[in-house]
Amino acid sequence: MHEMSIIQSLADSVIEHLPTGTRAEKVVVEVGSLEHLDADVMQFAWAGVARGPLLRDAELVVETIDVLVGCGICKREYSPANPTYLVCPNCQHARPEVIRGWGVMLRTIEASPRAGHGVAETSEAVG
Amino acid sequence: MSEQNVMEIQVVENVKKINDEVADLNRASLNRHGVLCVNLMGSPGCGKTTLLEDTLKKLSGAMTVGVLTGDLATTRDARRLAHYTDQVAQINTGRACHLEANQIRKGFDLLDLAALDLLIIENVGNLICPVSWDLGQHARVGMFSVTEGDDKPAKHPYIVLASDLVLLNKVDLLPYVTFDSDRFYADLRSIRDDLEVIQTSAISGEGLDKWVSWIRSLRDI
Ligand SMILES: Nc1nc2c(ncn2[C@@H]2O[C@H](COP(=O)(O)OP(=O)(O)OP(=O)(O)O)[C@@H](O)[C@H]2O)c(=O)[nH]1
Ligand SMILES: [Mg+2]
Ligand SMILES: [Zn+2]
Repeated sequence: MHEMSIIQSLADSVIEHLPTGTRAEKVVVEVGSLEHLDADVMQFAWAGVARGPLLRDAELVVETIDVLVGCGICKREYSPANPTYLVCPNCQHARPEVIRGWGVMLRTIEASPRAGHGVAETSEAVG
Repeated sequence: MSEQNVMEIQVVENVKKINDEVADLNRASLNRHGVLCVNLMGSPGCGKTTLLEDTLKKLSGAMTVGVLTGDLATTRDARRLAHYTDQVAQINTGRACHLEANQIRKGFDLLDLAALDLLIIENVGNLICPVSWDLGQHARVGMFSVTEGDDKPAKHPYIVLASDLVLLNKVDLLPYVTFDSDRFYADLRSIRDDLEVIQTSAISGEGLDKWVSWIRSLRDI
């Protein structure tokens, strides 16, 4: 439901990290599966947001990160198959402490030179 | 574009860093003024504003309480709460389904933080999105009500996972609705078996004292 605001921030971050004179070809983002972000909706939002000369036609790759929790009782780490059942397979307590599964991380940008822009150029506004 | 011209840039950047940084700033401001902040999250109509009306009544004279209440477009909740405190402001989120930290930051300007002991944030009625946004609160409370059905913890496990306390409201209606308490608690306990649950009712007043004690216990820490 909040894919649009995430994609806006993502586009801002990509532009911030693009070397001057380049444009993005591909953007890889990791999404924790606790985040309630739908990959298709993210693609849709990306198509709407990535319209300026620095991001246009850049491919968005969304990689989902599985949840990893640590048991608050016996410390065993486990990846629950189902978010509604977080009982520890070792000690049968449900005291999950989330190690991985929240968060949205920009990981990789593939950039290429922009035609006619070999020299420094300031970033564009998104929107 | 030829392949050799493509450069790969490795970045590890939290896309929500702006929100998270502002949330940390909010927490710092609250700490500086000694204000405890609770983020109340629950579905539309589960009884958040009603609970806050009762909470403000109960705490009147004992604590100075402020409320920031989020809603897409109306100011109705703030107007209801303004009967009990002048430290209340409505935050309209427009189309957004949750509050973000910068809206809370702006909300601080509408209140006298130095005068407060407790700030309660009534999040937008939604069991999903608010969970993912840190506002700078000290504690998160997830609220369900019996009229929504006993399957809500199973359908919305993340709010259970992220909350420090769960409220089950409208228990005065238990005789009239099909709500299997055993199932509700079993589902909740398979997500977090140590999570405290307080059953509340605005009609009978059940649980309000427990809820207020829970808030007070946080302040003592
Ligand atoms: N029977 C009963 N009704 C309640 C209780 N608490 C709230 N209500 C009623 O539930 C309706 C919604 O209450 P609100 O307090 O406005 O709910 P809310 O969660 O603030 O709603 P939104 O802000 O729109 O998400 C109102 O008609 C309340 O009178 C309760 O404990 N028992
Ligand atoms: Mg309300
Ligand atoms: Zn264990």
